[in-house]
Amino acid sequence: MSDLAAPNSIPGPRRRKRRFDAAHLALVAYVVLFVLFILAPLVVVVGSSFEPRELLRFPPQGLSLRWYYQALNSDLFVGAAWNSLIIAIFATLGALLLGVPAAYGLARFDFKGREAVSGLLNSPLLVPELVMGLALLQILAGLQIASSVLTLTLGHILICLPYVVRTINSAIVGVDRSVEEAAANLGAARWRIYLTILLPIIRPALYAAILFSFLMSFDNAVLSLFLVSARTSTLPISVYNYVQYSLDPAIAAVSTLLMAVSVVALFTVSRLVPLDRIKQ
Amino acid sequence: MLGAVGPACLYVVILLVLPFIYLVYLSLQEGGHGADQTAALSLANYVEIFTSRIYLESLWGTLQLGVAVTALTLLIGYPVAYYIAQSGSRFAMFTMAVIILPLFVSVVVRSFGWMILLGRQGNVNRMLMGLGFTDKPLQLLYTPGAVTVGLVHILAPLMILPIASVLRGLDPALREAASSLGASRAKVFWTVTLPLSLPGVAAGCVLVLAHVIAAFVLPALIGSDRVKLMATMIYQQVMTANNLPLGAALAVVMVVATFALLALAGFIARRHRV
Repeated sequence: MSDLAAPNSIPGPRRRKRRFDAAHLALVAYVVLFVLFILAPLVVVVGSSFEPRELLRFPPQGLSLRWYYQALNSDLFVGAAWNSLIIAIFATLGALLLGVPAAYGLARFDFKGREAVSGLLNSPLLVPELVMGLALLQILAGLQIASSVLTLTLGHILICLPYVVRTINSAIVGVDRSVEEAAANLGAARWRIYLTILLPIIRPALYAAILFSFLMSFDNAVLSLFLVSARTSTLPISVYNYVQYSLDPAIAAVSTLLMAVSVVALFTVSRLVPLDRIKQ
Repeated sequence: MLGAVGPACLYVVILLVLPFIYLVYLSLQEGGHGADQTAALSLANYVEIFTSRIYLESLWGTLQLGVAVTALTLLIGYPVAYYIAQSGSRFAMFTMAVIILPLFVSVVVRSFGWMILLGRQGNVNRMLMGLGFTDKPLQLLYTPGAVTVGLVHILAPLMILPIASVLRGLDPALREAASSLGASRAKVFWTVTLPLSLPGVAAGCVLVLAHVIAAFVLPALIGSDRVKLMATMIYQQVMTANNLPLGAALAVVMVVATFALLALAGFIARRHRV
C-alpha cells in the first residue's frame, strides 16, 4: 500500500503501535537495570552477612548464621542497639508532644506569622545535619554539658519534629472544620472532641508519623556523629566507626539487622497509609 | 493558638536557631589554634575560605561533584520517572517501592554496600575482569568516581519523585491532541511532555544539588583525602585540625548555600504544585 493512502487506513496506526511496543520494551528493560542498580548495594550487604568464613564477599560461600551469633553477643553492638532503641522511642514521644499540637495550631488557626512559624518548624529539614550537629556540639561544650543519651535524644527530637508536623498537619487540614464545630455545638468539651472525633480520623497519619519519626532517629548518623561519646554510641555510629577500620561479615550482619528494622517498619506503615503521600 | 505552636517553636529556637547564631559568632573569632575569646570579631575566616587554595579547592570540588551528580541523576532518573508516571502496572508499583525503600535505610548501610561492591575483590572488579576490561583489580573505592556513583544512588529518588509527580499531573489530552494532529511520539515528547515537566526537573535538580553539598557520611566512608569537599573539610577542621572558627565559617557558608537552594526548590514546588 502506498504512503498516499487515506490517513485513516489501517497500516499507519498499526505501524505506530509496533514502534510504540519496541520503545516501551526498551524503557521497561532500562527500568529493570535501574532497579538492579538501586537494590545491588542492599542485596550484597544482606547476602554477605551469611558468609561462613572471614571474608566479606558476595555471593557468600555458604549459609551460616555465625556472624549474627557473634554480633548479637557483642557488647559493643548490643549496647549501641539499646541506645538507638531508647533514643528513637523518646525522640518520637518528644516530637509527638511538641509536633501534634503545633500541627493542629497551623491547620486550624489563621494568625499573623503563620508562614514564619511553618518555616521555622520545617527548618530542621533545610539546615544540613552536619551543621546542626556542629552547632549543638558547640553549645553543649560552651555550657559544659557532657554528651549522653539525653542530649542525643534532644537532638533527635529536632530532626523528627518536621516530619510529625507535616504528616499530622496535612491530615488535620483534610478534616472538615464543621465536624468539630458540630460536636462543640452539641456541648462536647474540647478534649472530648480531640479524643473521640479528631484522633480516630487522623489515626493513620499518627501511625505514619510515629514510625517515620522512629526510623529518622533510629537510622540517623550525621547528627549523632557529633553527639555521641565514647560511652554512649548508637547503632549507625558503631557501624560507621567499624567499617572505617575493618570490613568483615559481622558488620554485614549488624547492617542487615539495621535494615530489617526499616523494612518491617516501612511495611507496617504502608499497610496503614499510601507511601507516596507520606514522603511528600 | 500560642499554647499549640509555642512549645515546638521554642524548642527549634533553643536547639537550632540559638546554636546556629552561636556558630556564626564563633566563625567571626580570629582563626587559628586556641581561639582567643576576647579578640575583636573579624571576617578573617571568610576571607581565608574564599582566598586560600585548600578551601577554594574544597568549594570547587563540592560544586563540581554537585553538578556531576545532579546531571547524572537527571539523565538516569528521568526515564524512570516517565515510566512510573505512565504505567499503572504492578512492576511500576514495585519500582516505586524500590525507589522509596532505600530512603529509609541508614545511609551508613547503603555506603557499606558500595564498599563491598567496589572493593578490590568486589563484584564490580570481578565483573570487569570477567569481561576482560582489565587483568588486575582496579582501585575503585576511595576515588572521586566512587563518591559520584554512591551519591547518584542515594539521591536518585529525590530527582525521580518530583518529576514523576509533575508527569502524573499532566493532562493526557494534551499529548493525545498533539499526536492526533500528526506529531510523532518523539515529537510529542520533546515539544509537549518534556517542556511541561520542567518544573519537576528544576525542583529535583535543586533538591539533589543541595543534598550533595550537605552529604557527609557517604563521602567520608567511600571517598578519601583526595576527594576534597566542604562537608569533610568542616569535620576535619573541627574534629581533627582543632580550628573551630574556620570550621564554623565553612559551616555558615554551607548553610547559606543549601538554604538558598532548598528555598528555591520549595518556591518552584509551590508555584507549580509539584
